[in-house]
Amino acid sequence: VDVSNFNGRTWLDMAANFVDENEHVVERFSLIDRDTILYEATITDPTVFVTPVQMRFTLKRVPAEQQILEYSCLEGERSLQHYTDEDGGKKRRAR
Amino acid sequence: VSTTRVLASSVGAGVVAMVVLAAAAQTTRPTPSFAPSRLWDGTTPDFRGIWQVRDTAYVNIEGHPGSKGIAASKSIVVDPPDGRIPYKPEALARRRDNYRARATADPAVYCYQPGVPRATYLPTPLQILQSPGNFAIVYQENHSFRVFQAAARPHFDNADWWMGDTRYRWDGDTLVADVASLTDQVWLDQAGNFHSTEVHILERYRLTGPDTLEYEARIEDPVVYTRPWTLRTVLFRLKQAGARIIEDECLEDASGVRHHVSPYDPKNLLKSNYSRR
Repeated sequence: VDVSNFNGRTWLDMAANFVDENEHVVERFSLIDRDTILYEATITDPTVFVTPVQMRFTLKRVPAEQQILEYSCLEGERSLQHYTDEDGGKKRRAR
Repeated sequence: VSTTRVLASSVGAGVVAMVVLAAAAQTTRPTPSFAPSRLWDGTTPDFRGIWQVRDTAYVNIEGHPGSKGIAASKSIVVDPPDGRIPYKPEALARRRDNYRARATADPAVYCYQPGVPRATYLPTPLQILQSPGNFAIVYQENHSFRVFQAAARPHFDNADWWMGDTRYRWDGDTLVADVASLTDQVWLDQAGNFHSTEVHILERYRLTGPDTLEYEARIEDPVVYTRPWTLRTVLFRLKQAGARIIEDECLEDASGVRHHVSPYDPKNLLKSNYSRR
């Protein structure tokens, strides 16, 4: 999967690793057994990274009776309780 | 815009032709039901595609006159036959209040999810994703989506969601979906039509031709209405080359005015005062 046209306003995680509008991602999804997807992503961003960043992890199938539930993220909601102090939770709140 | 106009006029001509054919057919025999193409299992009707309504029910599902930028429209309420939602008196009063305050009171102004059935007749397309045993709709509006669950599973209790909890089954070639667990924080349109958390919706999706999808919703809510009522509209297949759902991020700024943010609009990249980051 080839992904482009990012707006540069997203982070890669909660620790402030970032990309800009030159981000370009090539993703690979591979079933490595019946219930496991190997996910690989190569992130290229010449204005941020000196070499492409590669990541790889597995996704496990959950039992068939599970279903996706709604999570509607609305303005005014804050997820700061998910951040540890080391990640800047208290500092951000103090701003 | 010009592409849309060309498409609209050509689709419009097609509709006229179909209406004429249907009228001719009705004089001799009942309108034959359309036989849709099937998924690769050979049985499930194939609803996949990008669809959009062409009426302006999103402004008011009851009939309304034209206004700047908005075409007049007949009511899409087909039952009761007068096209009016059968509100209880106190609920009708609340609808009037909603209508007067609609510029700031419509939940859509604050980028809330559109709810059901409102998501279906918005002036933005939706995409039906399907495989045997799976059915999902992705709406362009504000990242809304619904994963339809098999009817064999019961509804969840004690939870109200913006887009509800949907269970579906096939009735012949018609998909019948039962929707419950909807919040009362949504409206049915921009005119302040509403329901309570007691609402229960029965949707019917049916192909009436290769490029027309009839949508019907029977809406029951003993708190708000004197009796169940039904709306019906038609979705048309988007056929221009490269038609696709485009990202539509709705953010509310500090002044409470919504913005649809698209990477296709360079102006949006320059704005930096969104309150959600």
